[in-house]
Amino acid sequence: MEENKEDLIYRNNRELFYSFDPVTKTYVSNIGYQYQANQVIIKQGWDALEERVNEFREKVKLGTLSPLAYYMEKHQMEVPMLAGYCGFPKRKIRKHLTPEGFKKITRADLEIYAKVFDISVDALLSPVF
Amino acid sequence: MIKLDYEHRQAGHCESGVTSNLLNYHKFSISEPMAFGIGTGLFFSYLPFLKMQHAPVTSFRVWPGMIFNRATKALGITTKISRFRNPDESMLALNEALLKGFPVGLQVGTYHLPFFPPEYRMHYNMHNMVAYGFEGKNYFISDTVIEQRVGISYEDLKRVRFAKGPFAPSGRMYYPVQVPAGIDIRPAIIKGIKKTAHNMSGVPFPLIGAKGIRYLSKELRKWPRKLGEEKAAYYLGQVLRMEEEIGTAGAGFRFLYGAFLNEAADVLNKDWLRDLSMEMGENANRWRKFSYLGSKNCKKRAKPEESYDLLADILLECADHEEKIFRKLSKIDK
Repeated sequence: MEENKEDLIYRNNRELFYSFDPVTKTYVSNIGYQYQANQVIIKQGWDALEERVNEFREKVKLGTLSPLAYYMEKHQMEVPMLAGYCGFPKRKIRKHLTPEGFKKITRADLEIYAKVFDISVDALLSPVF
Repeated sequence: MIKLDYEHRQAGHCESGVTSNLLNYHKFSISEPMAFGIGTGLFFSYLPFLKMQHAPVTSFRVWPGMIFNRATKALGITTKISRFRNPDESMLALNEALLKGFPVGLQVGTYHLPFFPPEYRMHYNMHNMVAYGFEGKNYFISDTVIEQRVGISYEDLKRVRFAKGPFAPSGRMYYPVQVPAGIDIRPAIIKGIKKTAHNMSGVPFPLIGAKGIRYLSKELRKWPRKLGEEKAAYYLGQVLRMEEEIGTAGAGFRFLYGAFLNEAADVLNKDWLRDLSMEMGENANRWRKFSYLGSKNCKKRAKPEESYDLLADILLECADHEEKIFRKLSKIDK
């Protein structure tokens, strides 16, 4: 299969891969960057995320979703996972995803959310897009 | 502070790599493919009713923890495996084990793993790595994905050990305590092969094993018409990510398993196992062809003849070969 190092998207770390040579009938392992074809599908996952985050950003700007919804998507989370990280019931988080519910969040809860996302409370209240 | 003399070796898959390296530390030399095969790492399931990252779940592996548990159990090795409610307690237990001289396997989430390459920073909670010491608030880590040894702070380690979401690790830590002398690996190999052969060809449920691959093939053929090009490409991409991404050693663990069969043929002195190992290698290459052509569809650079129909046909071939291989393997002790 074709391999052109210049075309690689990710060159942060080399991993170990096994392969099978059908001619010599041997298994070999080698250390290298992820195959180019696989890098394409890894990038596809990230591109899809970026698209969703952009959609969420627009909805926050339009005032149909709260900034919390934006950060949740940005951090690839869904309600059950965020609930796990915050120790909140899922129902409470769903409420906070709406602009109306978001306005009523207590300072203490804001701090918990901000800590999960590694951001300041200010950034959570008014994200810089 | 303590820093154990632990050898860092990269591996194709995190859990089989950790198992092999941990046992190696205890002077029991076992290759990664061997640990993978005895630990029954290979699997297939397609679960369309479960969605992860907005696409149906396809899995090429067994549940987290199974490889270490099954491999050590089959080999008669005493282990200590714990989970925790309280994060601070889990860190205390880790320190104690390290101070006693045991390198410790840890199940962690990768999203907050500071040394992980950014392209892999997803909420993946089934990752495994080894702590082999600490100095103050810094831990020495061997991660089989990463080229070099790495370090992690107390706070970061606590965070990744208590990652939340599907398959949350709950601080799970595990290590061999005692490796008896004169282990005979032959019965363990046979037991492992039988179990995997059953999982792949003997489970009477359409979404598991070779049957599951056929089911996926049938669904995949319909995706472009049913979901539209965009979503079909995303669903396909998700299958390929599970098959080829980090920690599968390529082709959804099929190379790793083939290498295991090859080694098993030597140990058990069975030539027919070697033949099956070669078939497995060729089938792994078939899976690679599937992901290679599939990635062109994801890039929308596929020629018409490389469409979903062709991909579905390749999957059917993979299923047929695997069914044949595992049917034969299931008769290993007869």
